[in-house]
Amino acid sequence: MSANEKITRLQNLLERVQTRGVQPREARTNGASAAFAAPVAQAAYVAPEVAEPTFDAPAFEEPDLEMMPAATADASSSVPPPTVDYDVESDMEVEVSSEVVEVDIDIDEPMALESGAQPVGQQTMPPGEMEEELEPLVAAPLEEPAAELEEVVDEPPPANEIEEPSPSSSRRPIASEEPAAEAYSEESAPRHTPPPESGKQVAAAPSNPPSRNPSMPPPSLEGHTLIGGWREPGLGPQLGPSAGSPVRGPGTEPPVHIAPPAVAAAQPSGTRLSPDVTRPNLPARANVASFQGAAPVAKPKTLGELLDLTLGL
Amino acid sequence: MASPTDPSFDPTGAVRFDLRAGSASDSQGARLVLVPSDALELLGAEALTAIGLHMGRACGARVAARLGGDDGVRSSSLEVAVAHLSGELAVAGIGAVHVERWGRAMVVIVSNPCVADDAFVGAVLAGALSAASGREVTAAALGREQGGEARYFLGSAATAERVEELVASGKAYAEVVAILQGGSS
Repeated sequence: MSANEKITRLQNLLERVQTRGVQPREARTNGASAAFAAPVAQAAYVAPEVAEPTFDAPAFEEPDLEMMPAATADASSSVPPPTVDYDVESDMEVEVSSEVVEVDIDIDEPMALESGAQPVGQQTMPPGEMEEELEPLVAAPLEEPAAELEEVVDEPPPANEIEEPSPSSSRRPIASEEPAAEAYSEESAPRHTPPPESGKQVAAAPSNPPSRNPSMPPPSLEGHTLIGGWREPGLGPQLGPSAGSPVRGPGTEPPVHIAPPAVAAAQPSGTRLSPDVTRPNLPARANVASFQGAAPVAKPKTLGELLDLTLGL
Repeated sequence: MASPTDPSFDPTGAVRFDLRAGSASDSQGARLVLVPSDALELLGAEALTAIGLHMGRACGARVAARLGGDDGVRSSSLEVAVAHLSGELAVAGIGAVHVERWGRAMVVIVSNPCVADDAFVGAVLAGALSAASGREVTAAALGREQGGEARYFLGSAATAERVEELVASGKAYAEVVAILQGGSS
């Protein structure tokens, strides 16, 4: 199918839509019975309110066809579902062919459209029509128009229509925006206390603050060392090594003489007795033992002498 | 035959075998008989002591004959006398013998004895020394070591009896000889 044929068919379709839209409401309502007699699949394609602004005559003219792929691109992105109110009673007589989608094929497009990121369709539309058609174009994705229209007409079916259970892969209805808005309003509420203002946090003053020596140097030479340094606050000059106090090691403490409690208790009050010890002064070593002569050592030279010795035992 | 002044022991011709006559004799012409050592084990202690004394006296007599009699033996040095005594006991197959002197005590060590019985070996030692020196000597066992060496005290009969009592009480040979020197009893 060439572009001209597509355009021709679209124009014919547009004319049919316009003529049916001009018809009075009663005529359309009467004709709805015939639409209800049609198969369910045909009824799914009915979307009069949406189709009327979408397929407006200037939109299908040669320059306006460029907006179709742009709108498709917008619809492919995450666009919220359409929120347009549809008149179900007036939608039953309109048949929209899905071949409309094929219009966007052989049209020369500017380079900016190839990326698909720029909503060129919105820019090329006339400003006057843009306000009216922008919302339906964005809301109704043209990539799958029949499916979207099915979703829009997802309302209680007529009594004479057989309701088929929707497959598991079908789209599920989206909740209304009011509860979501309430949820968002709850989410938007501050969860935490507002952060403190910028500035230094001042700790609460203790009930009984300990007395501390000031860290400022004293006006006199009290806090200054002899070499010009500064002594730590709180250390008086009498405690420093420069004051002449010796540094004591762990084992250099003088022994403390404490009287035994038993002796102290035995002493009557007023009289103090101490023992007078006399210790002998003995040499550490001395040559005390002296020997005279030598022990006899038997060194027999002959067997006879040895026999005399061993027999003498 | 070695001269009495020869310090070394010469075993040449110590045993002669007359194969035609079917006899064995020592250097002095005394008849010998080769007896298996296991046969001696069958004998009792008294018999072994008697046989041992006789065998030892024969060995001592040959030593004395070599060294000029018992006076020559007693006047000989310990080394010469021990060499001749050990040589004669070795030819008789008693075992390897050497002498230790512990103070005044004379201790003879026998290695690889032919008979395990101490009474037999002690009797051989006492008989050999008595026959060689001309003085009555008695032997008493001091004990055996792990290598099979047996120690014997040689002295008077009274002292030998005391040594046996000390050994029987469980004292080691060093303690026994120390006691014999006049220490604690």
